[in-house]
Amino acid sequence: MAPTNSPRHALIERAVLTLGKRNQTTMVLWHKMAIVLSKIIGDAGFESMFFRNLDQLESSFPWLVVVRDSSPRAMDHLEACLSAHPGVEAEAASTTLLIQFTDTLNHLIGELVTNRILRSAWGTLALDDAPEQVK
Amino acid sequence: MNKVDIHLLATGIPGFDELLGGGVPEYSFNLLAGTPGSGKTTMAHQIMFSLANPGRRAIFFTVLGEPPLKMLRYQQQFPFFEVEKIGESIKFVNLSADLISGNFDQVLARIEEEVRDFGASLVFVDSFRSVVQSARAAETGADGLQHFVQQLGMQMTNWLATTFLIGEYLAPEAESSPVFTVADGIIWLSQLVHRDALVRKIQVVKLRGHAQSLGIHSFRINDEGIQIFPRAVVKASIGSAVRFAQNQRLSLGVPDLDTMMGGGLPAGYSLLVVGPSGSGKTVLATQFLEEGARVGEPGIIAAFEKSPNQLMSHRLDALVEAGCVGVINTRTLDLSLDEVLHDLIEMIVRMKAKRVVIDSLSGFEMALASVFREDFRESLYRLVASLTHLGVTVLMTAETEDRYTDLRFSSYGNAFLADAILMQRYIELKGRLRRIISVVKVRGSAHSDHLHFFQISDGGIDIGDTLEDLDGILTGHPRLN
Repeated sequence: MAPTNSPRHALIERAVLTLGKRNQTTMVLWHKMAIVLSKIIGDAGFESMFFRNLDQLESSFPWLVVVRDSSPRAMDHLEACLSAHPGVEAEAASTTLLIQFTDTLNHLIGELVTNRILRSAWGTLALDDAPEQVK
Repeated sequence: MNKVDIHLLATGIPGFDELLGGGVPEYSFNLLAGTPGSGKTTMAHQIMFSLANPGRRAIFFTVLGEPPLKMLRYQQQFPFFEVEKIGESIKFVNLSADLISGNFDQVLARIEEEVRDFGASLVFVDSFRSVVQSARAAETGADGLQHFVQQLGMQMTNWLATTFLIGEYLAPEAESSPVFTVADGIIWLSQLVHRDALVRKIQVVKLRGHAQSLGIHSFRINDEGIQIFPRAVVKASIGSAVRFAQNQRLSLGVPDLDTMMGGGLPAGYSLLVVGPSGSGKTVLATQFLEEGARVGEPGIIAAFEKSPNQLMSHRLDALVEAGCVGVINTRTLDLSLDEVLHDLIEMIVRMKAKRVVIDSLSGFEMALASVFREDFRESLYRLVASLTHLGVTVLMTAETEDRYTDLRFSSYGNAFLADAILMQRYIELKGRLRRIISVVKVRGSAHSDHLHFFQISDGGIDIGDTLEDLDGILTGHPRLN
């Protein structure tokens, strides 16, 4: 796993803070990332990776891994789960999942390519106060 | 009215442009085909990363082939994979979902949309075989595929895109004939396992518009990516043949031997030094290089037989350290002749070398992958022709088993390739094993026909007396005449 103090983790946390100030949720990051990543690895590839990482968080956030009816789309499922919980708890779970998801990506394709993809997906959110490595 | 000028794109793969007659024609529609694991995807990435820039963007479409994440994972191990280009100049797009739907028109529309949106002028589709298989599975069949390929070719040409379809094919023609017909260029990659050695080969099967290098060439995938070694033939790219004055000769570094040769070794000649183990072939080769260093003629020794420590006598070591002699040293047993020649030519050009030693032919043959050993004589012919074309003078050593019943100059029947031959042998005389040497041939030149004693001292080879009072020398048991 990447170190918890990796620049990418810090970037995600800053992006979450920025969104909070704009009264937006982490779903913005998820949607943007899903669009870019699905283009590269296909919808099925993204969905598979998303639910695999979701399952990894079962012990911390069991409510994220509720039984999924009729194979919902990843983003629909996440949005439904998050909206059913208080904002702070939902954002904490979503942020942890984001970190977990990008860690997996980092494992597979490395920090440099992962950061390129995140930058491409998140645009200015990825640039705001982003560390040198991802600029 | 001027004819259209076809601009050639440099591929960034060492040796590949030479095969393609200068590069990939811009706006061409190409197929990179070959067996599984033959390096198609690596080749495509190497071309793409080399060519892509903000003014020439590339899209790499993945289609039901190698999972994109794995492809990114493995390809980024190569230094050509410049991460900074991703997003800016290179985009990866997965078409699996579009293809699974079985609607080729939808796939075409998606490709066109992505190419238009990204402004791509380089398009890669990997693996195109998936498209072929989908055509068979979905009832579109060969007609549907033909339509798809023609439409794709037309669209990409209209978008001024240079296109590469990457396909895994076991047999060149058969099922995929529409692709092979429409393609402007077909590059065929293969790999062959012969005994324990794996050899990779590449062939430009078709290239519209200009001449390509015919034949099958070898290539290697190493830490840097793909490197192609165009088949060694004397070619214009090396330049026109170097010509020498008729009387221009090189000293071997042994004055008495020069005299025996008729005044030294004619420049640009290939000399074969044959003799049994320990007879002094490498010593003579070292003196040949030393003499070159002395008169300002850099040399190269391709050492196939000995490890660096064994090879490097102090004298040779000093030459190498002084930069007068370059060493091509390999113990690998899966080389192709073209790879050896590539390294030799590169070093000859870099060092402006005038003298080359190949020590020895038996070691050289051993270093080649087994599949190439079968054509060793032909390979050697091409090697010698290419080197002498460059104007270097070549000294090759060959170990022969001393047989006293016949006169042999090489174990390989290669003596005819040499312009000059020096023979070393052992004979038994008065209870001692003595060395003798003779000039067998110097093409187009008078030379000594005497057999001479010689010995090896600290200074090198000392040529001794002739053996005129002895008969039956070559039987190994001379007697007084």
